[in-house]
Amino acid sequence: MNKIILLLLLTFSFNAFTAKKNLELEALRIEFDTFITDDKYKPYAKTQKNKAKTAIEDLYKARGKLKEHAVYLARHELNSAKMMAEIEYLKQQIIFEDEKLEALNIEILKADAAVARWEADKAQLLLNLQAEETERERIEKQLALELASQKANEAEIKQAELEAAKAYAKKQEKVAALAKQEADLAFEEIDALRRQLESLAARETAEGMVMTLGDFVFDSASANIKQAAIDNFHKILEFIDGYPDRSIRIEGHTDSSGSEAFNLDLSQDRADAVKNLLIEYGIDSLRIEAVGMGESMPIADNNTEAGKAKNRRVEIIILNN
Amino acid sequence: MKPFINKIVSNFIPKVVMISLLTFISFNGLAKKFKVDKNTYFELEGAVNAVLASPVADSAPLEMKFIKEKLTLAKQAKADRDRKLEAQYTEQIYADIEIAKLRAELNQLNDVLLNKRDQVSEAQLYLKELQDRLK
Repeated sequence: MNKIILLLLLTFSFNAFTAKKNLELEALRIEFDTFITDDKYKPYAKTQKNKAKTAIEDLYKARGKLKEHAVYLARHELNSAKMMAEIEYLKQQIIFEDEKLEALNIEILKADAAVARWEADKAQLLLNLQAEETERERIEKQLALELASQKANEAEIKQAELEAAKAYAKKQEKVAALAKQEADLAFEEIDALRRQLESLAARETAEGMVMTLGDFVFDSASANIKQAAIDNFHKILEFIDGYPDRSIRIEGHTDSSGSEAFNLDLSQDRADAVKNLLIEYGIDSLRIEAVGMGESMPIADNNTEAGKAKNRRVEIIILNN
Repeated sequence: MKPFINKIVSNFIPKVVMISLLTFISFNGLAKKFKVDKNTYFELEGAVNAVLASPVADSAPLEMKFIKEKLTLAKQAKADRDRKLEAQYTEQIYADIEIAKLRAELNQLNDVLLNKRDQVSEAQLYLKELQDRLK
């Protein structure tokens, strides 16, 4: 009987002892409460949280001393729940970061494109500047070349002008020399003419006193009296003045070159020219008769030049009254 | 008085004892049991070795240390033919393996997140540089 009473007492005391929550279980409960009230993990691992809750509640419901193994497994459920919540939280954070990164990458792409455009614009600008600079240098070079060419041309032109001037000067020298020669010749001719005129001598014929002017007095094949002859006509005038009361006949003669009619006209024209000159010098025109004889009265052989020269003449005859 | 007490004891004590025993059994004695047999340890050892050969071992070294220590205890329990203790260790080791895997995944995700945040920081910095260039 005593044993039975003792057994009862032991049983009641044992149940009372197991009903009491031990400290480890309390710690587990507090940890669980802290975990499920954490806002950070609220949305996550709900199934595992329930499992942990059930495991802890089972421990509370258990009577008697808590077995270490049961506590261990309950803690395992709690740790699993916490880790799963953390995993889900991390996954969510990774998704957030991915989205953020994606948005940033889009912004970077845009900015990259903008920078690339800016770089391209800058490069294009630089290219344009370089092209402009190159063009400017090319134009400067071209201008310099043109200037040099122009100077060269000017130099060439100057040289050419100089050479032309030299050539002209030489030519002018030649011309001057020729002119001088011509002048000398002219002077000589004039002098010769003057001497010839001065050396003219009258000869007496049946018709009267005759003074013969050679064809040197006229231009070739012309009735034009040379100026030098006109200037030196005083010998003839003196001859005429010696016989103021006599009539004068001027006869023109030619050689036989050319036609007879031409020679007749030429002789008449030459006779008229002498007549007009005498009139200009104050001889009365009524005293003067001019006659063209043509080639009809040669005084020398027309087959030689010397003869022809003699035949070309004008005779001034102071007629015997 | 004595006959009265004897009557009470003879009528009620067996019922109280029975109720108490039933209550005790329902809360303690009826807990889920992890049953072991002669292959349980070897299966457990294979599972542990598989985890040790996996990247989990590098990612959760502390957990693996506990698992290896507990495996030794399970082996000892098996050698001692203490089926109950072997069962408890086996159940705990499987739970620890699960925790180690979670820890490995957690560490890996942490690395990924840190890496992502680094990428975000670098991207933000690079974007700022680009924006500064455009100013």
